[in-house]
Amino acid sequence: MLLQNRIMLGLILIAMMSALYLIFIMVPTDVNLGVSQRIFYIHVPLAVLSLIPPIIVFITSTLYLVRRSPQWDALAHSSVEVGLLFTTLALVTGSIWARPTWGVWWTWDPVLTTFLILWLVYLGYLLIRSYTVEPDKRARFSAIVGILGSINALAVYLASELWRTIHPDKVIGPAAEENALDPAIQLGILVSFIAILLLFAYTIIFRTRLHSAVNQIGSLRDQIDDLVYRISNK
Amino acid sequence: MKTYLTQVWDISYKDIRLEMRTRQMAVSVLVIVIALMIVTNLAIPKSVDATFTTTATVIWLCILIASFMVVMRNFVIEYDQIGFHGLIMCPVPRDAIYLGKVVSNLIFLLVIESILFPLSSILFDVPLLTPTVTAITGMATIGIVAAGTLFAAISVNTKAREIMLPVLFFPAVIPIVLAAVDATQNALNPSYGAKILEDIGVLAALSLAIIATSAILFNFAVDE
Amino acid sequence: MTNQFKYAAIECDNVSKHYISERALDHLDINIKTGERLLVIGPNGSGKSTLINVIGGLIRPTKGIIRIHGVDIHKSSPEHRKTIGILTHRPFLYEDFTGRENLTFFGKLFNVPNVSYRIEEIADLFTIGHLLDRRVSLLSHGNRKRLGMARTIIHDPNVILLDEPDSGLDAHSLDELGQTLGQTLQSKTIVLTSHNVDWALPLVTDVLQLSTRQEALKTSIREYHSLHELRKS
Repeated sequence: MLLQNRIMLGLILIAMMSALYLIFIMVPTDVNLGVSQRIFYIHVPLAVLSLIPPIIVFITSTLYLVRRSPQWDALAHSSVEVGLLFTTLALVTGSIWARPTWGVWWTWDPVLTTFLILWLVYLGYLLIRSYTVEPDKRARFSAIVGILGSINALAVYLASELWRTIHPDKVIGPAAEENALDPAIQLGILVSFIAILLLFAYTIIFRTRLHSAVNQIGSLRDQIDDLVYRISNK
Repeated sequence: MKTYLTQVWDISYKDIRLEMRTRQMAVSVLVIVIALMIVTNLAIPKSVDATFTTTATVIWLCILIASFMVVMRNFVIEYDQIGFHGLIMCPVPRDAIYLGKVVSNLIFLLVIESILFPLSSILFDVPLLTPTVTAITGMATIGIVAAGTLFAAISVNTKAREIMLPVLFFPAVIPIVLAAVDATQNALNPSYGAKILEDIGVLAALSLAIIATSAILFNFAVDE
Repeated sequence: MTNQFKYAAIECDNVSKHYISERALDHLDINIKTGERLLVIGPNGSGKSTLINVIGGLIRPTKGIIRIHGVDIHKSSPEHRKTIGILTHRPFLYEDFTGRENLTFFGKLFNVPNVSYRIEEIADLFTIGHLLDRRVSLLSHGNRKRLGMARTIIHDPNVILLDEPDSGLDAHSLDELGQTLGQTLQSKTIVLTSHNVDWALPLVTDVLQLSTRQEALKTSIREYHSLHELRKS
């Protein structure tokens, strides 16, 4: 497991370094937006990946309520944690970019509002966990909050698609025209996306393992208690 | 089916009778909501163009706060007077308990709204008592109450019920409240026309989705 | 209702209930036959109340299955709950309602035919007719307990679970409750806990002794008496 971790971390390091090299040295400066545009190479993958956890949470929380096995709860919990981290970073990097470009740190644009709501939903999920003491009640409540929260995120996202927005169009992804971008830019986007995707996957796996380990320690402790109790009574 | 509906009504009727006995909740919610209306109204600058927007915003802010207080109060009374086990021991499906609570919360809110709307109609000098605004209010209130009832059932079971409910409830109802504000200001605008029916349809669909999901999830929320 | 005679009234199959810091029940296996009246005794913390709540389906056990008339209580339909009447340390009465309103509400939810007649009938049984129209919040502890008893059996359940029904009752009410349990409810399956062993022993057919170490010993009343004699001598 340690070796796996090291390989994974090594890969992330290589990808991150190449992404940074591409972003700051290879990629040409944007004609309209200037140097500040370079933050997009970090901001866009962060923002796109922030939208993945609600999907994971919806599926794993439903599975937890049906199956009641703690591993689904652990996976839902860690996706929310990583989701919160990514949403925070997306909001911060976006804000840094908005200041020189739009002249303000924040604007009540639908896309921005969506992310802020998503951020609140993630925090609510983590709060209900910390305010509920009994482990199975905690898992049940957070699964319910997780399911409704992800539906809510979806609703807000769809609504923001309908609203007018000043948020820049998504020039990457399947919707964008193929030849719209310089090959260096395309490579930069691709590499930084891969780097951040690896980081995303790694942190979720890492946290899930951690939560599962905590669960296991809990049940082992129960078993030890059980044994001690039995021995001391007989 | 008939017994199911009777059970739902028995539970809501009990909540309503309990409230009629003291009328504490209705009075306190009204005091707070009217105070809130005064504060927001004084804080928002007056301009002729923005009247509809201001009115819609203030009204929905008031309804949001009122519904938060109503759903919380209703569950706290249940919890403090007999504890939730008192209903769980009865031969009633869990979702009937949920729907019973939704119906009583809804009736409480409709009563509060029936005071709030004529009042703001006078205070803001905006014709609020039209069929479209009524339809919008009804549809959106159902969704808000449906979400609030589920979250209240969860929150009363945690260590910090008074903090947990707003933390879960407010972000969850943002979409429907935004849609309601939007629809209300459109309805007030005479030039908007028949497109308002679409807005009402969206609200109805949202509410229906919330109430269906919440009724299913409630089964897990009280599962001890 | 055919199940009623085919299966034990109450069956605890390897039931454990652990709270975070303590265990209330530990691998409990008991069968209670239809018509059996079981007294559960034991010191504080031996899990008496937990047992009542777990059998009544109000608390889900950590492990194990509870069956009432052969049906798993946590998988059965809500209808199945009509066979159970439960009185916990909370009487499950709305403080701001009168006794009659409370009984009417629960009577309706339990689908009792002709509720108002049944309320009079049951009020006679516990001589609480004069209290029915007072608010519960104004009643004394003992009277709440009596009203709670009335609420417990309003739907004429076959299995009656009582957690210390005698606490807070004066001598007269104790007699009355004893009579009701011993005569009116003679054919019912009853599980009750009590600290007042002298009062409760004549009413029951079996005794379950729980210890603080969650050991359980179930004996018939005769065996219990002979064990008691043995311990004395």
